[in-house]
Amino acid sequence: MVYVLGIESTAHTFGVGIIDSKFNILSDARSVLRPSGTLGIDPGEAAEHHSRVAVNVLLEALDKANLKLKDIDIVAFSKGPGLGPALRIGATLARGLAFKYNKPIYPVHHGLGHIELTVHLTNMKDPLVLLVSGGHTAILAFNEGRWRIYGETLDITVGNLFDSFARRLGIGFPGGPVIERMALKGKRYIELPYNVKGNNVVFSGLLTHATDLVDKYNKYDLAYSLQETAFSMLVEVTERALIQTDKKEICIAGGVASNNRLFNMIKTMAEDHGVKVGRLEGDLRRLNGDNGVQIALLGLLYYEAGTPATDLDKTFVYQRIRVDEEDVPWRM
Amino acid sequence: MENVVVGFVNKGRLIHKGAEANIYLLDYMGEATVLKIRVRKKYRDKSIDRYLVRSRTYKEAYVLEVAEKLGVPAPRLIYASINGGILIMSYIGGEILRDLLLHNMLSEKEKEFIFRRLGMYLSRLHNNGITHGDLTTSNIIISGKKELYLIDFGLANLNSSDEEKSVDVEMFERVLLSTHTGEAGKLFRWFIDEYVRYIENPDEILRRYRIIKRSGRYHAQKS
Repeated sequence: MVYVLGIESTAHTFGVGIIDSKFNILSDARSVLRPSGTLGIDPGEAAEHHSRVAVNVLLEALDKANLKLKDIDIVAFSKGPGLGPALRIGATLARGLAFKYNKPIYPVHHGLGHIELTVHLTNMKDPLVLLVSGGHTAILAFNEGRWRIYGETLDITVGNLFDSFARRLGIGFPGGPVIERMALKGKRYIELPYNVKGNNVVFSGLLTHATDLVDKYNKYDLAYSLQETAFSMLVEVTERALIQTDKKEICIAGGVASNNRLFNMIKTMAEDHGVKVGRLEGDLRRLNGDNGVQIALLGLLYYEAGTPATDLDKTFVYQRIRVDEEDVPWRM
Repeated sequence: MENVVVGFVNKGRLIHKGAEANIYLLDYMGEATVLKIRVRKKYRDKSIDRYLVRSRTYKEAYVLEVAEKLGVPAPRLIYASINGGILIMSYIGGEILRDLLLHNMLSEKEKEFIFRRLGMYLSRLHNNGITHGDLTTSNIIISGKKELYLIDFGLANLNSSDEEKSVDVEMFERVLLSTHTGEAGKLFRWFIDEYVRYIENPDEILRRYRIIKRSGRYHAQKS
């Protein structure tokens, strides 16, 4: 049996996940930063948090998996995209482990981890993927060796949109779940800017407009209207991409996949096309948020596809790196 | 009139089921026409649905009329019901540019002619404040005589800023790169060459185009 340890540190979450080569999840340890200020995440504060909790999270993961460090066969870490100072904490820990125990190391793309984890756990063959989180908002399908982007946000992500709006209401991270609960109490739709450009969405005007209205309208109606507008935009571009790619399955991945309203809207749209929709359900739902398991899974997939491990002096981190720049040898 | 149109649908033949609208081929008073109905989407709030169906039908009808005045080839508008989300337009027989390119059915000369013409037509729309909003090779029909017609103006903007015009150009380039990867550079150069020749304030639009090109989400920062 091969054991893979994955380290996640792109943004709020420092996570360590351990899986075996049959993709049994042995542990998923995490510590999530709750930003102290009102301006959202501060890269320095995130790095400080991650370096403080790193060893404990690592030990917790090993303990739950009932393994020792020397039992680990492969080390993987999030190389980006994300906050530079935060990424470096995960990368440094990964390099240290790989060096000390002389194990192969794989720097992997965080967003690709969300995609592959969800596609694997929902048992989908060749889906259209709606990736919705704080770091990504994109519609992808696998084509000629890579996950190609068929539509995406041209500015902020839907996770950013909810978190920023929530902060304006004095709600901490993550804002999405609170907005979802508030929206259930909304009764009236307040007109907000709806901005679709081709297969792409633009959210910044929506955010500005909604935050400007906070003191003028009922906040439950606003939460409802914000969510309805943003999700209608996302479902519209997903439907466009669905028709262009002619896929038979849709998979929703990332933190915002937990939102039931989004899931039901996508399902309603998909029924018209006879298309199946999947996301992580039940206990697996916690894996929608950033975690080390999604990183470990990619480590395993590269290893099994025969991709050589990366030389330690080439294990860089990247603040900006696109999913469609990553080769996906296990799907070829 | 709407009931009459709905009656026509039964006689019409569904030729395309898009994400937004259904397209029927229809004999309308002896003329071959296309009936486009924007369908109600069950997944979204009724007010959003009503707003989108109305505003897009209105924009499309408006642009079709302006295009005719500007000499930009597009279907001729015959009938519009803004509230009903219904348009009847003249039928353009031909092939979708995307398919002709992918199946390599155009000569180099024809391609150059089409993309240069497209640059000229888009500049005419832009100079009159109209951006297409969804310019792709799927939204261009090439007739049997190898003339090009622009279609699908539902995402158009009728009062566009320079920024929106440069977004139109940049998104079109991205479509070329993703759909027609091998010849995208060549096609785009023909297009932009002619576009720049006719567009008002080309410098400002090109400047913004370069900024947008660099600023997509997670595009590597190149110095």
